[in-house]
Amino acid sequence: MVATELTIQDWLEGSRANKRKAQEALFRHFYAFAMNLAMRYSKDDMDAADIVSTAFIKIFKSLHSYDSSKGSLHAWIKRIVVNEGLDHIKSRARFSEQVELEAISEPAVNNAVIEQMGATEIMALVQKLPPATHAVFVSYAVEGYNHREIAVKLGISEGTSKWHLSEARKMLKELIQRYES
Amino acid sequence: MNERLQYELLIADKLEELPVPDMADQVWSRISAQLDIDMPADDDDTDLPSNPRSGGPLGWGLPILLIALLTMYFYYHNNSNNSSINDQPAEPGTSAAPPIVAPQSPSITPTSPPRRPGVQSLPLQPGNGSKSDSTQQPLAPLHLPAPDSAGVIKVDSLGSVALPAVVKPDSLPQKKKSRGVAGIKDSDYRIVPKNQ
Repeated sequence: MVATELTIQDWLEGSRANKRKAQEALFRHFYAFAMNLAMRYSKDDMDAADIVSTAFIKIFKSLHSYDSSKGSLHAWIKRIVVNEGLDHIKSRARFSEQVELEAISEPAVNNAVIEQMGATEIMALVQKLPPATHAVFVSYAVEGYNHREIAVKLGISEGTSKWHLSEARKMLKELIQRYES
Repeated sequence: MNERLQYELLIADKLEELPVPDMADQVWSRISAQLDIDMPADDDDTDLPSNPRSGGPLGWGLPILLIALLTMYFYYHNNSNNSSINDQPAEPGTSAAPPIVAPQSPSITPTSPPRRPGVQSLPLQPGNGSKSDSTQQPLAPLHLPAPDSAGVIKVDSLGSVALPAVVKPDSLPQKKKSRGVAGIKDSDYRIVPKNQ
């Protein structure tokens, strides 16, 4: 079913009124979008399901604070899901505050190999990164956050964020070369 | 310093197409269970989001009204059919016609009236002691003997009266006719015993 703006607005109002059917409709409409985001921060599907369920509970509880004049519902939901994904990784990650980095390495990677790889294969490589490094890499390389924003979200310094990004790039280069060979 | 590398942009594009597992039902059940604890919903959840233009108070009232009207229509239609069948006398030999019962006492109908508690429904066989109108003959077993050359109705030893063989159905539902000819009593009918 193609949801029109009017339909989504009805679901939004129904969800604010705590109507389960409206909440379910809104959830199912955004499920694929939210799950795709959550999988980038998770180690498997069950992990991603945890992130999505927690995120939507927060969404429904704070729906009254959503202001359509300040941004789209899509962007608002994305922010909540991404934050939940990062919180999920923080709960099981250990960020090394002792290590700081100013200059980030840029190892050469064969782009052609990445073009040939499928999304699932690429995700499998990213999931092999340590949790903290995984979080920084996805936030920076996939979501496009800068190191200042990542530092605020993860409660780390910008130097630590840069260090983790550098580590992610080195590891991914090795993983891709291993995949290529 | 914040520039993304080429392969990182490629990875970002690829991950946009990541296939999503079909776990919506499973995830929703967890969400609703938690919401039931944290934010219990009202029972009145008739607003279906898939039909945003549902007609408010008429939304459920109209189908119920239609169902009630259809039920009444079928009830009265069945009753009127049954009464029309009851009024049509039988014509033996008509294979196309539905089985027609011989004229019965007006109190006996093929379909029983709505039962009241404690009231037994009467069997639909003639001559079973059912209530009968005093102006009509008691219903007899349908022997259908052929009338003799004089056209006289013969009575067997049991005293049962045979009905005429041929009964023509009228096009219009018949009203109840009084028995016999006006001014002539029962004793005026000459009945010839079998033995003669």
